Amino acid sequence: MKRILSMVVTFIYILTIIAFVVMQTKLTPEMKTLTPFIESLSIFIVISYAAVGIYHIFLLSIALKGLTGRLVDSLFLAGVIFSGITLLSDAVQLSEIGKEYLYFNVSEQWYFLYGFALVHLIVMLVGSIKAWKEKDVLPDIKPDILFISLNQMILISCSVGLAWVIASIVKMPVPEKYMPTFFVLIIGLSFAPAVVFIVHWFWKMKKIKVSMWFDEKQISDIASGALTAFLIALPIYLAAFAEEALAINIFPSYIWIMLLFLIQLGIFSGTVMFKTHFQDDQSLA
Amino acid sequence: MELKNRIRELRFKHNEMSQQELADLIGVSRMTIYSMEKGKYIPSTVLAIKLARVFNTTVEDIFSLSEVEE
Repeated sequence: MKRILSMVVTFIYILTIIAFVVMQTKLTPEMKTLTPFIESLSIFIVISYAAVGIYHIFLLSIALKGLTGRLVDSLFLAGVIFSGITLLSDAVQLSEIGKEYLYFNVSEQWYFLYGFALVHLIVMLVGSIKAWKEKDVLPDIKPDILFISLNQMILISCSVGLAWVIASIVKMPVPEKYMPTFFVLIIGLSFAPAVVFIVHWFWKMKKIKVSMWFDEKQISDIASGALTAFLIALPIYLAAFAEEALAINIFPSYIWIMLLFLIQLGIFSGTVMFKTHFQDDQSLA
Repeated sequence: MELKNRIRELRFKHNEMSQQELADLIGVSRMTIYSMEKGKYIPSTVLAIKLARVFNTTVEDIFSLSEVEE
């Protein structure tokens, strides 16, 4: 059943992308009133998005149950969460296109939509493959798999956030006065997968005493990660301090804070992952 | 000096106990057992005593110091 469902929803989403292309060519200021064809396409897109949204909840369950500690599994989980959240931003974009196409050039909004559509499609295709391969009864996920997955999710979120911040510094996508808000949005979207997983992790650990959440080796790895992150972040602290002291305006302070946060947290999780030697262990559960 | 251990050998002598079974018995993660067996992590005294109890032996029987040629 789940296999048929995954194929049907993925096919519906491919049709939705085709509907976007058709609508992009038709929705121009010349079209004063919507034709029945365009109205039908709009209704189809609404229904398709509802189906894709529900399908993402199913994908989230597949991704969470399929964690093995391998980075690809965490990447899939992060992709599902990111894709699920950006479905909401798609709805906002579509609603704006619907209101603004008569008065403004909305071509940029379509390209945003296509960018996110690519993410949704990749996630849904990988999800379909996973749904085909998934066993009926999966083993319980052990706390050490959760621990390594947690660090992988944080590292993925930091990497996405850092790449996005750097790209936005190089080419500002919004006017300068909106940049702080834009960066808050970037961090929020980048960290959504990590935040969702942290909530899931707390949920899984709720029956275990707090003192038993980490064993002594994991605490030792966390300490190594914290020290490494602090030492590597020191030059960035010094650079930010020098910029302030010498009144050289390289970046505004909010960018320094974000860079520090992303780099420090990313190095912390990366070091913890490296110290667990998980990648060396070929006898994975 | 290098700290060597017989954890893997003792596991197999004890009904081919898996890493996960040993981890559950002493209250650590399986990754910690793996790291100890590979010599990548030196356990605390408490953990060493717990291991000795599980294998019904002494800490010195599990862990030993050996000279490393330079």
